[in-house]
Order: sequence, then C-alpha cells, then structure tokens
Amino acid sequence: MSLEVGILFDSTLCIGCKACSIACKQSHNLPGEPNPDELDAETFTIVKEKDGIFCRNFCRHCLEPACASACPVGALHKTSHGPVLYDSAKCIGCRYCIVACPYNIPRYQWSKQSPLVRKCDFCKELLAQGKEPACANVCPTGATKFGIREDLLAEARERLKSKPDAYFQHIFGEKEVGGSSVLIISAQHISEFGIPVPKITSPLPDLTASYLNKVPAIVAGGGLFLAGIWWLTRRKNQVKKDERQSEQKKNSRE
Amino acid sequence: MNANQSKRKIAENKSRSLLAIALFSAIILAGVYASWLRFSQGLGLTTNLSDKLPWGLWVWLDLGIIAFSSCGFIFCAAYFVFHIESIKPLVRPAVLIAFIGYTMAGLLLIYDLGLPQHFWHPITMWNFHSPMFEISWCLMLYATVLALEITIPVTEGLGLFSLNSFLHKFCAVLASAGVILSLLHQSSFGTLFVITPEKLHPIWYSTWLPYLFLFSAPIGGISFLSILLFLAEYRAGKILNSNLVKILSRALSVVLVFYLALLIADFFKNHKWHLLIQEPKVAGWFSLEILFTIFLPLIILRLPRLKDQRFGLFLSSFLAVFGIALNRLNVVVIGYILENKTFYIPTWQEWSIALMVFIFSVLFIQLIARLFPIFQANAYK
Repeated sequence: MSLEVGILFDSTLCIGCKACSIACKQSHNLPGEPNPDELDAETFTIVKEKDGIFCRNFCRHCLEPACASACPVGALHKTSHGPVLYDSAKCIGCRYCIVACPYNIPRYQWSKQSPLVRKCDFCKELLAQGKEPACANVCPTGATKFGIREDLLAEARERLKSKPDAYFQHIFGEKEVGGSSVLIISAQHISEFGIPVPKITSPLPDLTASYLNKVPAIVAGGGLFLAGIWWLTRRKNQVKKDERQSEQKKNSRE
Repeated sequence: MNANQSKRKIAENKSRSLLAIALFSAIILAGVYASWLRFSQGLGLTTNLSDKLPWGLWVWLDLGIIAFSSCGFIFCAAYFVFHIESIKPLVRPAVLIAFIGYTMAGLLLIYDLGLPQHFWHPITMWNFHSPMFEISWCLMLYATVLALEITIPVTEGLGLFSLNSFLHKFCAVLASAGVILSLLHQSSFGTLFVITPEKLHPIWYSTWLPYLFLFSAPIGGISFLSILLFLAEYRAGKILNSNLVKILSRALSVVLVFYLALLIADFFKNHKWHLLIQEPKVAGWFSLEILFTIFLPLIILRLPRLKDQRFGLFLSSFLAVFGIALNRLNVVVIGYILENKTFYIPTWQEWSIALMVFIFSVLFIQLIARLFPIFQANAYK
C-alpha cells in the first residue's frame, strides 16, 4: 500500500471561516491580507464563495505533475511521500511550469527583481516534524482533512455513497490528469466556483514523453541516414565528373 | 552636369544615412534605457506579462526567429551533405542569418528569463522529461555549430587559410549535426505546447504540434533567406540568377504543400473543422495565418506569369514570412488569450527592447556581410 499523503477537502463541511487561508499565511510568514480573490505570489490557498457555498483552491500536488515534467532544470519535483516541491536554487525563471499547470496554480513574483515561483508546499517543514499541514490542523469542521491519500479516497467514496443527494457524484482529483494528492468533493461541480477542472484523465507528462523518447532514435537514425546520403551523393558527383573527363579525353583524341 | 548629378546623389545618400543613423541611435538608446529598467526593476514593472499570460512578445519573437533561422541547417545540408552544388551562393547567407538569428534569440531569452544569471543551469541540472531542457541543449550545441560554420568565411576574409582549410574538412559533419539538432529543437518548440491541451485553443492545439512546427519552420527559413538575398542585391549585385530563383521557388512550393497536407490531416484526425465556424474571432486569426502562410504564396508560386520569376518568389516569400510569424504568434499568445479569456498588449519597454534586438540583427548582418565574403556570388567560381 502506498503511503503517499493527501488532503481531502469536503466543500459541504466548509463554513467559509477562512481559518485555512490565515493559518497558511502565518505558517509561511506571508505578507498581505488573507484570502484575496485569486491566488498570488504571497497567497498559496484561498476559499472561494458562490451563493453561500465555499470551496478551496490550492496546489493539487498531482501524482504526475505537468509542472515538474515541464521544468527544464528539475526545480519542481514530486516527492515519494506526495508533495510537489520547488527548489528555488535551481529555477531559471522560464515560467514554463506556469504555462503547463492544468489548474493554473503556480504564481510568479512579477514585482521582484529576482522573482521565484510560488505555490503551496504542503507545509513540508511541519510534515517533516510529523505534524499535519497548517490548513488541515486549523480547520474547525474537518472540511480539510489530512491523511494517507488512499484512505482519504476510500472515505470520499464512502461519503458520496452515504449521502448521494448531498454530493455531486464525482471525486475531483481522483482521475483528472492522472490524479492528485488533493481530493475535493462538493455539492456541485467545482468549476462553478471558477476553479479549472481538467477533462483529460491521463497524466499530461505522457503527452510530451512520447516525443522526447524519440530523441535517441532521431540522433542515431539521422546520423546514419545523413552519412549514407553524404557518401551516395558524393559518389554520384564523382562518377559524373569522371565520365565527363573520360568523354573529354576521348573527344580530344578523336 | 554629370559631376553635379553625382554630387547631388552623394549629398542625398549622406542625408539619408544621417537619418538612418539618427533613427538607429534613437532606437538603441530607448532599448538600452528599457534594458536598464528591465534588469533593475524586474519583469512585473516593465512588461505586461502576468500569471494569466506568462509568455508574450519576447517568447513569440524567439519562436519566429528560430523558424526563420532554419535556413541555416537546410542549405548547409543541401550543399555539404546532399552535394547540390548549384545552391552554393545560398549557403553562406543562410549560415549568416542562422548565426545572427540564434544569437539574437539567445539575447532575447536572457531578457525573458526571470533569473537570467541562472541561464547556464540546464548544463548541469538535467530533466529529460522537459522539452525545454532539450531545447536548451540543442540551442547551445547548434549555436556552437553555427559559430564554427560562420568562422569559415571569416577566416577566409582574414586570410587565415590554414585554419580555414582545417575547418573545411568538418563541413559535412557540422552540417549533419545541424540537421539533427534542428530536427530536435525545431519540433520541440511545438512539443512545448503539447502539455497544454486545455490551455491552448483547440484550433491550434494538436498532439502533432511538434510535426507542425518542424514542417512549418522551413517555410520561414526559405522565404526569409529569399527576402534577405533580394535586399542584399542592392549592395552585392545580382545573386539570385534564374536557376537559384527556380530552386528557391520550387523548394518553397514543396515545403508549403507538405505543410498544407499535414495541416489538413491534423484537421481530420483531431476533428477540428467545426472550430472554423464556431468562433468567428478564432477562425479569423487562423484563416489570416493560413492565407498568408500557405494559400497566397502557393497561388503566386503557381501562377503562370509569376512562376519561377523573381517577383513571384519575392512576393510569396514576403507573405510566407508574415504568415509564419503570425502562426507562432497565434500559438504563443493569441491561442492562449482566446482560450483563457485574458488580455495582453506589450509595454513600450518590451517593444523597444525587441526593436533594439532587430536593429542589432540588421547591423550585425551588414557588418559581417561587408567585412567577409558572404554575398559575393562571383567569389565562388
């Protein structure tokens, strides 16, 4: 059994107190008002509201993250225990991760002279101490629940089954782009909160992998082909030249 | 009277070149000021890039320049590997365009990177899953190849004949390396967007984007080289004889037909035809792109009166250059804006840095072409 950690967010339990947003800012020492309208370089999680119902938006820590496969220098990577982490020392600032993310999560420090990519880090320091992430720890209703992803998935299925009328029958993050460590269940489709929901269920890195796998073959095959062409066309020109010369000789003799 | 006329002509030329110098200096000054702002204040204050549109004008220009620079690998391969001797006068101009093109693309990349001081990281920090990683390596290696290739006319011009003949031995190897590296990175610029199936508008998105980029690049390369040669004839005398015009026209037709076939196949495979009628704005940008890239050039190249003619080649090349630039713009910016409901107009800093880089390209091409044997068609006899 996999011991990858995860977070289950249940929108039906969320009362919109925004304690998670505040706790996130505090535990990461982030400036600015908690819970602006959108994520920004200093806001890693927000609670969105629609008609008195609430839903969180933050990094899903995809099982096969597009951002990590996109990054040319491997500054983003999926850890074996779940979180997708960013190593600012490697980053070159190409922003391909921002382009690649299907959830539009990573934010850039546009206003800084030496900008970094910013997003939820699953409270890696707390996790290392054996504690749960700040947002899950602070949640008063259990809407944000930390645990082993597989257990959380089983629990989400159980909740959907036990109260079929209370839930939109879908576990967001179970299958989207190959699944993510963060799972969301809600009374309605979460795209109604303005949160992107990818339609593709296969991992995005697979799309590019099929091309990058061809590189060795192109190098080897291309090299051989070009060498062959080089030899053939040179020989052809040589033969032509020789023929012309022998003809000229013949003509001059006659 | 004759003396008077030539005096007047000299005076005219003088005032014209003074005007050009003033204009160029103004652009470069603005560019230098904008560069200072860019590097001292960061990207946010000097560009209109945002989390909603992280790639803009500079990335578009990079993609366009790289497509136009594909002439370098095409004509080197045709001459040094395929031994097509009649195209010899095209080889050095093509290498010059590619060399300047890749240099300027690299320069723009330095402006675009958030942490330009880390530009060398891909050398030691590897991620084989990233097309961007592959591109970085190909760009570095191919820039080296082009630097060696441009050294050949430079050493010839400087009279360093032993080094020149030493380099000559490696022409075929360099050209082959150029082909392989170009196949890889020209397609990989398309692969960049394969990972964004739901963020790039479906009319431009395709899992075949690598092939579409690879097959459209030669259109840009051949037509851009043709335009440059027509311009170079002002100073260097006639370069494009009727045989070369015919070769370039036919080559352009062939790559256009290949690209058109691939595009049609892509539309059938990914069921895109309905997109042409669904959203008029999208259809408009797309039609404009293929009209300029494919249909107008193909028609002009096939018209009996213009077929294999200088004017036909010039006109179709001009339109194709515009079309390829528009195609890359659509994939990088327009397709992203339309799908993600965002907006982007570059700032004056972005424009003036781009203009400065353009002026640098013009000046460097002129400088190298004047100092070294690049365009002299007769020097090859």
